[in-house]
Amino acid sequence: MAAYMCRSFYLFTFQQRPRTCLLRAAPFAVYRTYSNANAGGFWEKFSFGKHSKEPLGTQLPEPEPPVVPMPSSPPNLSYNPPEAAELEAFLSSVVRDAYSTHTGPEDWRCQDVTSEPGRTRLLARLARELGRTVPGSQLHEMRRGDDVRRFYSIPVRDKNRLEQMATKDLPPNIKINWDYE
Amino acid sequence: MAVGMQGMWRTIASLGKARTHWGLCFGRRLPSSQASYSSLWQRGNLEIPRPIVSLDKMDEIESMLLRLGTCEVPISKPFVPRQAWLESMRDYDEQHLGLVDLHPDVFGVPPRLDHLHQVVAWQRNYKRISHAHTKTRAEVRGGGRKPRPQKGTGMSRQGSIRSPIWRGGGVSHGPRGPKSYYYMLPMKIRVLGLKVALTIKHAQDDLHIIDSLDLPTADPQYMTDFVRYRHWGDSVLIVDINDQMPENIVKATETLKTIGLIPAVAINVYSMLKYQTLVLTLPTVRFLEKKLLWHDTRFTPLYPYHMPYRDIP
Repeated sequence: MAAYMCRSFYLFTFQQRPRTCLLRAAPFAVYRTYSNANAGGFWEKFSFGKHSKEPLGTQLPEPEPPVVPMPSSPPNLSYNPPEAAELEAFLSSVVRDAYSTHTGPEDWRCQDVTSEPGRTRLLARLARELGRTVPGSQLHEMRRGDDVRRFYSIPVRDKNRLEQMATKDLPPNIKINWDYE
Repeated sequence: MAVGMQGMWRTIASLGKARTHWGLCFGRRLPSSQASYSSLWQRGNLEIPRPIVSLDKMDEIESMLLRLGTCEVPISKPFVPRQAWLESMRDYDEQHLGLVDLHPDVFGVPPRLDHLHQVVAWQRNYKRISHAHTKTRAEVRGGGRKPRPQKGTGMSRQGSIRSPIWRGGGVSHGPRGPKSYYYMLPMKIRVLGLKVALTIKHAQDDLHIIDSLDLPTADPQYMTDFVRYRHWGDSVLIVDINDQMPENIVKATETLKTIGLIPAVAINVYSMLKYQTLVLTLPTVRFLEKKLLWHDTRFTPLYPYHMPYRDIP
């Protein structure tokens, strides 16, 4: 009984029998895989030193510099008018230059600013020097020098409260979160 | 009208900028279009010291302003034209090349928001064909035989397994498509819709007029930087008179989703409200004024307008 469990019996039953030499028959069909079938084999899961470790994010292409770059950041839309007396003095000189009039000191307010080419000259120069353009919706309302003075005496605030707060120095326990979550 | 109008109210934030008085309309015109003086509008040589624009360009712009700066269609007194700055896209800072007159009966009409809503709803619906289609009990496959006897089974009496109360049965009052939602608004309402849209764009400072579509480069980045620099808004609709446009602007705006480029014949109220800013070339402004103002003084057609006429602008 114990003989059946001896080593020779084990070797006889479980060892492989000698193979007979078979003629290798030519395959009757060749299977072509057009997909990446063999690349996903079992051993391909293990890359033995094929890929060296590189940190991600180093191969992004750098953005090319723009062909015609912006001169500076977009101009600020906020407008703080100069002092009333200063503004009036400046406006009177500009109106007189634009319309080439030699009138009294207060007549520039009644000056009619609707006729060309003085109108374009006047409004373009004011836009350039004061930093605020008369918008298209209010251009037809600029009829006299006084209308122009009233327009340029109104201050304009560009930023809302949150953006104003962002520019100031905040205490360390207040942080503004700009992202939507 | 009330529900759809809410969207319209949101797009039209404040008309207070234009300081129009809705209740005091003089006929169909606004008091802001009137003037109390009687000076003549004259055009002469522009002598603005502008080192940015070269002299030959200045001559071109000057001649363009002489030709197209004033309205071709006469403005009856006492109404005065609206105005807008003539700008350019050649450089970031070319913003004040001149002043352009805009006809008050196109760019200064009373803001009829109801007509605007009608036109937008018409534009969305008149092309719509709904293909929704359901089968009735007669069309659903099967259901010819009485499933069980009338009496004796203790269950409800049924005549067909495809009746609407059965699962898998036909739909009694479902859509029977295809269905067309085509209708046409009167031509004058559509024209008024365009006028109101142009007026509102001008009144809210979302209208800009440029001399031509010349760009220094075909780089889309230049276009986005330019729009941001000029504070033109999130989306821009650029309209030219021809459909043949310079190469630079076509290439620059091709890949950009927020900047649209269309010819003048394609202008419509829906697009004008969809894009935040409207940019027109000067010839386009005159073209639109001529086309839209003709309807104010035309007669009823003797035969439909889609047939050939010789004297329509």
